[in-house]
Amino acid sequence: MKLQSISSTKEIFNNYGATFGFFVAIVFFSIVGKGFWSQQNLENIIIQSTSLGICAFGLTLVLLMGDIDLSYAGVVGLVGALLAGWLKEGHSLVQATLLCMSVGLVTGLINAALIVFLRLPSFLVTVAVMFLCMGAERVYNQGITTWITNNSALTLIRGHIGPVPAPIVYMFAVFLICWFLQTQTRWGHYIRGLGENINAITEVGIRARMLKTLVYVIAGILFAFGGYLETLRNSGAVMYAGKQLMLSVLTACFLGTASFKAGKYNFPGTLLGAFFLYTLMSGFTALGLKFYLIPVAQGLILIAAVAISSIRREKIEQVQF
Amino acid sequence: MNKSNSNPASSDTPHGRIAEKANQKERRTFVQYGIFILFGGFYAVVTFLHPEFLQLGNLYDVLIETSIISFVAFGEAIVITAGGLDLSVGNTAGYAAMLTCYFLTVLGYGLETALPIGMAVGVVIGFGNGLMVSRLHMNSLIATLGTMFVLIGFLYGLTGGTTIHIVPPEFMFLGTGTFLNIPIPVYVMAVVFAATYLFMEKTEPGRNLRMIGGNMEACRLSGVNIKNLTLASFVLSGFLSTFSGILLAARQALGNVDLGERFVLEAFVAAMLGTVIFNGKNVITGTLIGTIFLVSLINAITLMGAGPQWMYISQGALLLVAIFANYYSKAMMLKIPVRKS
Repeated sequence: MKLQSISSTKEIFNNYGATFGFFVAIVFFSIVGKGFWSQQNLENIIIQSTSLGICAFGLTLVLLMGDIDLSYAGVVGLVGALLAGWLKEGHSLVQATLLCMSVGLVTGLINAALIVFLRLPSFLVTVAVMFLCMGAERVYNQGITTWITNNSALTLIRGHIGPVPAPIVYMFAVFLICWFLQTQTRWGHYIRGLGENINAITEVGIRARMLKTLVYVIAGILFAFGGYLETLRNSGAVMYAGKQLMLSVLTACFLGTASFKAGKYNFPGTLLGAFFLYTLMSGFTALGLKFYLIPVAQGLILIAAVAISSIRREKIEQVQF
Repeated sequence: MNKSNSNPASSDTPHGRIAEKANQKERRTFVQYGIFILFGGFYAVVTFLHPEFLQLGNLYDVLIETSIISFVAFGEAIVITAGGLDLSVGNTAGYAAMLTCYFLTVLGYGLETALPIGMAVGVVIGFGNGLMVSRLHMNSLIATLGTMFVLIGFLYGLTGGTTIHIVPPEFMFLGTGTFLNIPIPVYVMAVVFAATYLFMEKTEPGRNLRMIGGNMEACRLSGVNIKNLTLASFVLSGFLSTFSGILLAARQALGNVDLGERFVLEAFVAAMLGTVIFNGKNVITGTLIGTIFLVSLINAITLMGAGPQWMYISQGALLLVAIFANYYSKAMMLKIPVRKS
C-alpha cells in the first residue's frame, strides 16, 4: 500500500475540500448577508434540509454498493399525493402513514426485482420507475394541489421534541441509525464490500442478492419517509415535488464524497452536503441574488464535487447499459 | 453462485459448441423480431381502435414531430454508442432556441447571425461536457446532470422566465414552411440522417466511436485517440440537439424556458430502442425507427383522449421494454456472462 503524506495540501484538499467550502460559505454569508447568522435562520436551514437529507441517506446506501437509485424523484411525489389525498378522504393519520411507507417498500421491491433478479442496469431501471411513479401521482391527484388540514399530522413536523424542533430530531435519528449500522455492524461493511468487490463478497459466502434487495427496500422506505416529511413541511402535495429534489439529493451525496473521504460515499459527508446546499440557498436569499442563480450554483458545485472525487481516476468512466 | 447462468450445453465438445451457437442465434432472432412484433402489434391495435390514426393529416403530424425529435435522438445515440450518456441535451436544445429567439427578437439581429450563434452555443456546451468526461474522467451521467441544471439557471436568467412570442416570419418558415408539400424540418432530418449515418457507418472516426463503446481499452491500445473521440461524441450531441430546439421554436413561433425539457426522455428512449432494433448495429437507422415508434405512441395516446399523465407511464414502460431487450440482446450477441448481482 502506498503511504500517504498528510502534509500534502492536494491530499487535504481532495479529502476535505467540501468541508472547507462549507465553512468558508458560512463565514462569508454571515459577514456579508443580512440576518444570515441568527438562531432562527440556522434552525430553518437544518429544518429545510430534513427531507433532502433523509432521501440522500437512502441514496448513499445504494451508492455504497455501487449502484444508483433515482426512483426517489418519483416516490417523493407519489407519497405526497397519497398522503394528502388519504387525509382529505378522512382516513386516519396512522393509515395514511402506513400507506406511504408501504409505497416505499413496494417501489424498493420493484427496483430490487428488476435490478437484482433480472440483472438490468440500475440507472435505467430506477429512471423508468421514477417516471412510472410520476405518472401514477398525476393519475391519482389529477394535477391538483391538495392541502393538508389535519392538525395532528401537521404537529408531527411543526412540534418540538423537548426543546428541539421535531424535524431536526427525525433527521439526526435517521442519520445516527444509518451511520451506526453502516460503520459498526458486519452487514454494513458488507454493503460497502458489494461496491468494492462483489465477487469477493460472494466467495466469502454472503448472500449478495438478499443483501442488495434489503438495501433497495430500506432505501425505498427512506425515500418514502423523506417524501412524507416534505409533504408535511409544505402542508400539502405540490405537483412533482420530487422533481425539485432530484438534483439536490444527488448533489448532497456527491458533496459527501468530497467532504471527509475522497471518492467514497459516507453518511457524515452526505449530511454535510445537505446542509451545504441549503446554506447556499439561504445565503443567496440573504444576499438578495436572483433565484435562477441557485440552479447554476448547484450545478457548478455538483460538477466541482464530482471533479474532485474523480481526480484519482485514470480512465474515462463509461456508462454501462 | 449463479448456477442458472452456466450453459447446459457444454462448449467443450465441438458438438456442444455448435448446439450452443444455434441456440444463441435462435434467442437473438427472437429478441430482434420481438421488437418488430411489438411495433406491428401496436400499429394494428391503434388502427383498429382509432382508424383516424391512418388519416393523412395525422400521419403528417407524426412525420413533423418525428423530424423534430430525431436530431436529439441521433445525438444521444452517438453518445450512447461511444459509452457515455448526455442528460443535458434537452436544455441545450432549449437554450440554443431561446438564444436564437432572443437575438432575433430582442436584439433585432438577422437570421444569418442568430442561427449560427444558437448552433455555436450547442457546440460550446457539448465541448464543456466532453472535456469533463474525457479529461477530468468524470462520470458522464453526473457531469451532464450538472450542466443541465446550470443551463436551467441560464435559461431563466436570459429572459427572467418570460416567453418570447414575436419571431420573424422567415424564422417561422423553418418550422412551418413547406417545399413540394413536404415540411422543411423533414428535409433537414433527411440531410442530417444521411450525414450521421454515413459518418457512423462509413468513416473511420465513426467506426472508432463504435469501437470505444465496445472495448475502450482495446481501442486505446490499437492507437486510437479515445479522449478526443469521446470529446467529439459530446460535441456532436450538443450540436445536433440545437437543431431540435431551433426547429421546435420556429414551429411553435415562440420560445419559452421549458421548451426542450421533454426531449431528454424522448431522445433517451428513442436511442435505447435504436440500439436494440438491429442488435447494436446500424444504430442511427434504428434510432430513426425508434423515434417514429415513440412519436406514434404519443400520438396514439393523444388520440385515445388520455391525459398527459399517461405520457409518463407509457414512456416509463417503453423504457423498461427497451432496456430489457437491449441488455439481453447484448448479452447474447457479445456472449458476455450475464452480470452477477
